[in-house]
Amino acid sequence: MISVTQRRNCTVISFSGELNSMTAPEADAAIAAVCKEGCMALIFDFAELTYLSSAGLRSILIGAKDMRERNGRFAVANASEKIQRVFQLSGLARHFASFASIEAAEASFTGEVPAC
Amino acid sequence: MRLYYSVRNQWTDLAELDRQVMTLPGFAELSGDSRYALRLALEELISNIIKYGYDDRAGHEIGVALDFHKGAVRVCLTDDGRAFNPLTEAGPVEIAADVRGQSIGRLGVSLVRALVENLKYRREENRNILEFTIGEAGRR
Repeated sequence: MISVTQRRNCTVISFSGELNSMTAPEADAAIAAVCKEGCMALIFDFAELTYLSSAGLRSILIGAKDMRERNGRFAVANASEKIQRVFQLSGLARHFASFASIEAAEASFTGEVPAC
Repeated sequence: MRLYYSVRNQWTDLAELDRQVMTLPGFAELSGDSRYALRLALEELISNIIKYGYDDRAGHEIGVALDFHKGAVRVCLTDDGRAFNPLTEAGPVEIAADVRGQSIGRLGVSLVRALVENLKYRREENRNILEFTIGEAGRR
């Protein structure tokens, strides 16, 4: 399941359960909608995510690429050890700042970031 | 305990295989990391076959053999798709790469290579035969 929360300085997309070949289309749609709205600061919240495959990584990457192309900021929060390991093994961890909480990720967005 | 599944090149079959594997007694005997690795390897490799393995739209059977033994599992996948050796095809993906294309397929195979042991590939009689183990290294 995917939920989108608007905070003062950023948008949070929270994933729960499994992000795999079956569920990635739902993630693609949610991420595309947030990016289309012009979000400039995005947090991928993995607190309730239990499984991530390359199909899910692809969804996250598409969002990150969109944010980067628009000079937006993005970060990962609350990733479990298993999810962090998938990022590391894929070689993509270096592209994503990872934080232990949404608050910490939001605080990392320094500078004047307009509300989404 | 050796089990054999015949999976059609359809997403519903991949999802059903995943559900069935998780109910197996041998699956429960794997470590948490090995359970994750087995599910991920099956998803990545079979989804690659479904997406990129065939030029036609016909139904094809993908063979999945699982041999559980003392907290480890030996896996053999066979398919009649185009030749694909994951030992030579995988590579890292850059964030600027075409993330909608096959580079992500390579990303999945890179994950498999990092998570499984004793990965071996051969091509026999127009079939890909891929074998690997999970969990054996932890028992040594």
